[in-house]
Amino acid sequence: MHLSELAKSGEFIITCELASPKGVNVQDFLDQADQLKSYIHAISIGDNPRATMRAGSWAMCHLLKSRDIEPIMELATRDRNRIALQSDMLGAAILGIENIILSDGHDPSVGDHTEATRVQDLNCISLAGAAKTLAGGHDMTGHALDGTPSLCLGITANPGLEPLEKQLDTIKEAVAQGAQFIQTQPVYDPAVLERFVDSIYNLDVTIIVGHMMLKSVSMASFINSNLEGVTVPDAMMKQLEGQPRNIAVETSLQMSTNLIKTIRPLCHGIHFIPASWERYVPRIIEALTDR
Amino acid sequence: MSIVELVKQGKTVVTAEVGPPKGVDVKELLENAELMRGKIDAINVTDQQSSVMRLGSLPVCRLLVEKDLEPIFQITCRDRNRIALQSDLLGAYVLGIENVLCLTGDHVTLGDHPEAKPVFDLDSVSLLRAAKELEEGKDLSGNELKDTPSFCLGAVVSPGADPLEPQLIKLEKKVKAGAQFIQTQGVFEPEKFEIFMKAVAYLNVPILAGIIPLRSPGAARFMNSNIAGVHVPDSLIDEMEKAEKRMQKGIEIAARLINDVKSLCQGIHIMAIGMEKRVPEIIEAAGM
Amino acid sequence: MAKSKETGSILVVSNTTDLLDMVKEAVGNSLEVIHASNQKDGLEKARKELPEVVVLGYIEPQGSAFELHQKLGEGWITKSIPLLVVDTGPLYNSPSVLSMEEGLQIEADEYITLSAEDGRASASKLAEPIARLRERLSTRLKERENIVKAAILDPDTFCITWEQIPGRGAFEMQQEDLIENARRAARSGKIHAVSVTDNPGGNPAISTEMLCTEVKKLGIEPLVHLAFRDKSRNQCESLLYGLAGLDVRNLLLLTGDYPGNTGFRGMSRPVFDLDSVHGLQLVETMNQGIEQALPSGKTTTLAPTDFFAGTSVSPFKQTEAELMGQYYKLQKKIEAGAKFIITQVGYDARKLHELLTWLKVNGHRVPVLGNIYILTYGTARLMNANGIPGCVVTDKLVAELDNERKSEDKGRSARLTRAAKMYAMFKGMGCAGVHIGGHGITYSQVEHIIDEGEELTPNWRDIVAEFDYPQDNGFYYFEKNPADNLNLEKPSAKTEKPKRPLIAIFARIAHTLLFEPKSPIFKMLLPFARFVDRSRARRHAFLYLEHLAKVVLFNCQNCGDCALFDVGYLCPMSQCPKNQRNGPCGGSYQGWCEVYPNEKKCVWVRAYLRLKSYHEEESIAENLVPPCNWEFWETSSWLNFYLGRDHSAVKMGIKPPQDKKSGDS
Repeated sequence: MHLSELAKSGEFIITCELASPKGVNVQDFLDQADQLKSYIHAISIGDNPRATMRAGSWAMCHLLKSRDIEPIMELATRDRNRIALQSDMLGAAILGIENIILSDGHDPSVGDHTEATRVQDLNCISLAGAAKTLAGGHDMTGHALDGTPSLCLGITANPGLEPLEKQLDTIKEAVAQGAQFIQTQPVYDPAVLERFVDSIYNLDVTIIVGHMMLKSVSMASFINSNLEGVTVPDAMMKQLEGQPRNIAVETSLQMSTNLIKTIRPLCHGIHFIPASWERYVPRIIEALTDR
Repeated sequence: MSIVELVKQGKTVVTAEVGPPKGVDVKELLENAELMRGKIDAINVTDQQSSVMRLGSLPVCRLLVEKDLEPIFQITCRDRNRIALQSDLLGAYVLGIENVLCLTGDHVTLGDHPEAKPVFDLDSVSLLRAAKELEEGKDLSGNELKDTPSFCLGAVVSPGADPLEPQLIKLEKKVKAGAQFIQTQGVFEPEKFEIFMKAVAYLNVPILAGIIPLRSPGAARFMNSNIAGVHVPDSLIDEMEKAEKRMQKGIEIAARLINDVKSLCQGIHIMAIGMEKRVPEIIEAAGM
Repeated sequence: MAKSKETGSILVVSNTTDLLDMVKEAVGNSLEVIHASNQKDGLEKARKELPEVVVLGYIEPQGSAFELHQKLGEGWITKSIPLLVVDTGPLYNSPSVLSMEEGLQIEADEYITLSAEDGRASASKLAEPIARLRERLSTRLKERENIVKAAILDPDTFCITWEQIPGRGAFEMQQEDLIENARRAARSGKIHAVSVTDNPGGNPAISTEMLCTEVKKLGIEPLVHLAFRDKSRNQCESLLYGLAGLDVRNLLLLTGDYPGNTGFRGMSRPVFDLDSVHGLQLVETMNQGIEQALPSGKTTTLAPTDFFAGTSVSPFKQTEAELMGQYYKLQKKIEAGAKFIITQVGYDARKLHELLTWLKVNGHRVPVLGNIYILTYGTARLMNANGIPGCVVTDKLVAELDNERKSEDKGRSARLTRAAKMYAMFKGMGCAGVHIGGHGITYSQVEHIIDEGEELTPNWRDIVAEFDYPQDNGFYYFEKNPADNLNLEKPSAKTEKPKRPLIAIFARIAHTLLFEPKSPIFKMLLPFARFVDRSRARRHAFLYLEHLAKVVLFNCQNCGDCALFDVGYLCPMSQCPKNQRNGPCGGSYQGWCEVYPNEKKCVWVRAYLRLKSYHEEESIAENLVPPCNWEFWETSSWLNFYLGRDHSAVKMGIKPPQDKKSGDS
């Protein structure tokens, strides 16, 4: 199922990110997926997110698919050259993975294999181009394919990151190359999202906005100083301040619900980044549905 | 069942390779694999052989697992850095793939994407070591894993290389790094292979002799000039030239070679490039 | 808390001293700055030093800072300490305290990043959040404040506790009522604590500890009764750790009634491993932090607990020997750390005043909660017949109740008024509070008592005369003050006749000859004891002989840790069903043992009269006897004494032989 088609059918898309294990124990992963299954449209799996080596995202996506859960696979240009990237897109297609988010990935220096070669043979725009070519029945060098894949491609964006213009150029190019949806970093300020959405209103692209629940005021401070382009407004910090640890949950969930309700008219979907709060995602979704 | 376990059972292990298509049409590949069912012990799935962009080895291996066929996942260092390689190894294990053949990989200039960036962040030896580390619960940076995979790790060698010495040194390294079985490049001279086997006996590692059925004298000549470490002797080329049914002849020679070498080693690895459908025939002709 | 210090402290956990120096600069002299350089050290210091704030910076290995943050957040003790996470990574171009993955999961109170631009101003950037967090601690501590402790210790607050009696069974109405009472009490705010009896009457009932943790959840402080009848010292300790962890801090330590006859398939085994003096010592030691020996030979101190423990006493005893035993033991309980006293059930105003006067005369400033038991005619009859150990109701009071029950409300309002009068009287006399109890009492009745009691308090002196219930020939510690029917501060004459039976004389002589280190025979016996101890056969033979002699004379139970010296040559293991080594329990009645009324005199009554004959009765108050050491069970107490092992040897300074060889030679 292509996410873009789902959006066109008028559905408000809800996706959630799950981390593939570092290792081969997939039990927790599958348990979490099963718990989320009835609440979400798709689960996305990062490609060695933040350059931290984890079990292959395609393998997790395939496991999800075999459990009847729609997967979204991230494919980063950091770790593979064009041969592998194209090959992996073909591979994804035969394993039933249709939605692929293309990204450049973080530099290995921020991850746990700092000595790894940053491949970056392509960037996400040229990769989108390659994907478009593959869908057209040829590889990047024009060789014909035996059977063509059907893919729905997405890219990432960070609505709060300045200068926005540079990002907009990338987005426009990627969309021109065939990108069909955008998955954003968390946005806590509806005004920031509004500005972003306004600036791409003329593009035919599905916008899925990232959302990360705020577990504590310290986590919010951490976001402000470490997540580039993501800002938790003071008003939200105030709400969390002084809350005893572990008891801020209710406040946090309420804040998330309110925020999502506010930004809902601006976008086509929400993408949860649970940061170990997977268990609370269903509660927010429930709160969203009974209006 | 893993290659090592098959070897332990004491019979001659037979493997053959299939090459994934360029594209997503896997019908023929699966048909070929189906023909091999029951006749061979495991199927190698090549990884963008000769640097030509194709469907990857991993997804095809998974398809074979789903069809209850034993795959050997060929993984090369050309296209992926250490993050992706380790990540793929973990993913492979999660999806039930156990046999992994670790290769350095051909250079990109040989293939159809000569402009692609050659990665080679690791080589076959360090890849073997990385796989071994994963089995021991750590990644290459020493981070701990949540549950550990277990693989049956393989490597390759060219017994026909001249000089042989560098190949032997490399092989020892590979075995020390964790290789548990070896598949060789095509063998055409049983005498030379015997010398090779004697030279590597001390490594005590199962060796599967590579068998390439010849299609034509031209193919033999092509290999002689283009594939390092492969040498088809003139006598065989002559034999091919004289034959009326060349394909048949190629199969006959392959069967003969199998019978010549199978007692010297632990198994046979058939690389029937483009002739995957004939693999059962070769095995039959060899009387196995 | 035991570790109260002049200035508070702040704990800095970081692998270098950079952050430490910054914090020092930020807080100046207002806080003592403690440093820990790794996770283990950090956790330990946070638990031991109880800093006002923990500042967490980078520590090796990567990831351990996050782990420490989690452990602090989960720790029973550490979870209320505010935590500030500081990332100095950008400032020193060093690793970040948390990875991105970790950072997105933190639940600390504050997080700040110090960047290169902050540079020299970094310390001042820390000062503000630290100050904020210190303030947060004080509000958090206020939430944690033990209001019972505060109410009892505050002279301006009259502390009210309400005793609940749990029953047998998990789902019976009695337990539902108890919880409902606690809920109402919590809502009203007029009552400081709900206390729950521990296996009342020595009969099995739902556990007080568990009910008390439930009570705590309802929003009112519980007071856990802990009776040593059913629990060994180890079980007491483990139970106390559990309570400490669940923040249940108020304890009433009691010997406990002897087991009742309703136990499963017969009477329960009486435990009495500790007495209430020992129990108070245990709690006091836990509050200091128990020193624990490690296999390595080093010791470690467990994190201190925060218990507030009291005990009970009965001034309502009839005879001099009984009453003096109560006061001697109380003396030891106070020394052992009793923080408050709740009296036994009794209705004689002069007796309660006697206790207050005794405390005053002896310079003890321990607060007393007067016991108000709302008495019905039936219960009064039972108590009058010594049916409930230690509760004293005289014939005169029974008669009054008999009268009252003839009224239209069957004596209900009279009962409540009596309780209110007691409230007024106790408050007037200077009690720190009252402990209200009684079967089937509702919250509104308790509230009625409080309200009426408050009204009556200004005229409490007029009420005293109504509570004149002396026992026949009852002994009062002080002389009566004819002016107010209470007590003068002048002790009355102690006229009870001392007793000196032959066996006591004999034992005393034998003791002087054999067990006094100054005696020549003692010196001769010392090498003999060492000789005997070296062979197992000799030890066994010797034990047999000792046992024969002591069974005949004292009905010895072979505890091996002999307390004959401590109890006037009476064996507490055989003569006291509760094995009391530090004075009488509260259960004696007219001098008789609680367990064998009209059959056997209380061992401590006998000991008092024996010691009194040598004018040594005061020694009971001074001699703090430790609990029986069960390591010596079935061994020769004489050898244990001569060879410096048992508590008497320790007290008399007898040292174990240096060249001691044990086992078979």
